Amino acid sequence: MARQCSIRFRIEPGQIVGRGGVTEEAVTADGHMADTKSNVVAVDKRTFTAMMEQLQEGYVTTVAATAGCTVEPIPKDLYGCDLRLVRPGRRSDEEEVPLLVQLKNTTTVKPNPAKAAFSFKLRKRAYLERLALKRKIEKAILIVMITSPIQAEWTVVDHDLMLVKHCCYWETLEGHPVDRNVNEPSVRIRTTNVFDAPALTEIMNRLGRGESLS
Amino acid sequence: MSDASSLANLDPTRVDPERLNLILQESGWRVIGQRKNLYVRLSPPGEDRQSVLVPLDRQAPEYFEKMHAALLLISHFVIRNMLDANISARLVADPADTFLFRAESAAPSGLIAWTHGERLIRSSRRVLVAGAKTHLERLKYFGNRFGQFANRYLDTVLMGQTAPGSYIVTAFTPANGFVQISNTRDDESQPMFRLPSEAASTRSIGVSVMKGAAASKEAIEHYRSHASLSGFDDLVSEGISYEMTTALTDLLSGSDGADISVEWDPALDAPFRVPDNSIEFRPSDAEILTRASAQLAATARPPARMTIMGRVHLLSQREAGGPGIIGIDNLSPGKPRKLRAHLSDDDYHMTLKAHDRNDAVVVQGQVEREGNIHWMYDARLITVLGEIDGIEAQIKEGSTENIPGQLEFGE
Repeated sequence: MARQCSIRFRIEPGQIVGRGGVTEEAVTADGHMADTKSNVVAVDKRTFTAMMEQLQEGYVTTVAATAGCTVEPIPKDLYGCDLRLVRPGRRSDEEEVPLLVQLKNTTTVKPNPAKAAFSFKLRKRAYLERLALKRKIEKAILIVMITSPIQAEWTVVDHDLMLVKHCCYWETLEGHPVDRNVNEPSVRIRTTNVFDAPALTEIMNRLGRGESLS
Repeated sequence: MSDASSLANLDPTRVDPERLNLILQESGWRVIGQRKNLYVRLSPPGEDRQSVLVPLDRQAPEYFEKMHAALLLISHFVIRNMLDANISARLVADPADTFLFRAESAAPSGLIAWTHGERLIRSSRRVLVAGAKTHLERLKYFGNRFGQFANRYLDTVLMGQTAPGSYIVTAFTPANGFVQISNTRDDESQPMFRLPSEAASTRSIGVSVMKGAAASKEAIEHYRSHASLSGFDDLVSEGISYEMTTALTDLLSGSDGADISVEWDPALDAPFRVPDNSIEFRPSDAEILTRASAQLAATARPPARMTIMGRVHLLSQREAGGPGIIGIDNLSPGKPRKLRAHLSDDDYHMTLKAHDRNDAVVVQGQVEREGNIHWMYDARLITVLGEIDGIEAQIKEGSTENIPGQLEFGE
């Protein structure tokens, strides 16, 4: 029985979370939430940001499985990336294709699907620097997840499908200019870049052919 | 990710990626993926969810970042592997106290010059031996005393994995073991009824090792503040000995500092009144220890003098007019059957003539065993007796009382 990842847009203000403990507004760096300005409804306040990371890893892992890609975690601070996805060669003469992904999860951003792109603020210039680096050996992309602030509603499971709130978007930032004067650079994420299995397959196909993702 | 690992501190520009790939494969890592001339991905033994990407294309803009990351990740796995090994060693073995003998050296972290490594292991053994001996008696100088006891203690010790960081020799000593004090064989006594005083606990011997090392450190500090070696004599009662100070000198030799530390196995209560669990020595301590060793040896009570009668079977003199070495077949009962003695030039020539005539000789000196050989130090020739065959006949008849020299035994 195949399970699907269904994506529905319902975006509310909340916070941004990245694997480096990057948080915004009502969530402090150590994962504890302040009482003010928070619309977060956590199952357990102490682990909310860690669970946001876990949710996104689960999303990405599920999509990767659908596209036939393996996922392995990368110890923090190695490349500024969180996961490595690898699509094995599909024929004996085809080589594998690796892809590094940096994960960021937020409850504060509200992309409008009708617009071509939305703006996303990275909380450290270093994140952009790692993504902007020119790479030949394996490419890296950013995956931004838009998540509901109501933790208990993150997933809904029924007999024929699984619903995960809300959506991941991918973007390549290789060669993106880095302004040394900006500590929290904003980047543009295309709303057409919904991260799902066909998108990942297309990414891997292009990388396998040595083509650019931008 | 630990800075302790030498791998993590390697300069990525100095690493040959092909060689790294080869070394990892030889160490049991499996290639799980690659792109020709770009990279190879390998997983360590027993790991299939994570890989290390070794970049092969030096022209790639992110090559050095990748190589640095690879080295970090490999060191992470290596350290984990070592920790696993130490945990499993401690799990499969009985509770064990862990002694760490660490030497700092100019070699890259985790490596050591070969001869230095050999010396480190040897000196670690000597520290354990010296500590074991002081457990039985507090003496300035042991020579060969309690050597068999110390060897039985060593027989209970396991050498562990070397640890990352500086070069470290690990010794696991049983926390709740026992070492027989006397050399009685089990079939000669009944172990079931052996009194506790006949055996020493391995934990308490370990405490003696640390006490001896700590007392040596204290005496070194005393020397630095008072310019006097008296601290070494005063702390013999705490476990300082010639054997301990020379072992520590050996440990420091060629190093940029050394330390001895212990982790007492928590399965047993921590020992009572034990010095610090880690004792550091500086390179400059070596000179003080050397001087202390000389003083301890010079003022120690010398071994008892013995008188031996026997046949000369070996004569060796390196240069004319110099001292010579003789080998004696001992004809006296109850003593080492063969001995060697250093003799002055005059005594040597008297012995040479006695050898020619097949006369027996009587020599006296301090007998100490070194390895399998009994050496007589400060030896002199007492007298030359008559023909050996007659004396042997007398011995066979049992009339040993009449043999000159025999009466002097034990003097």
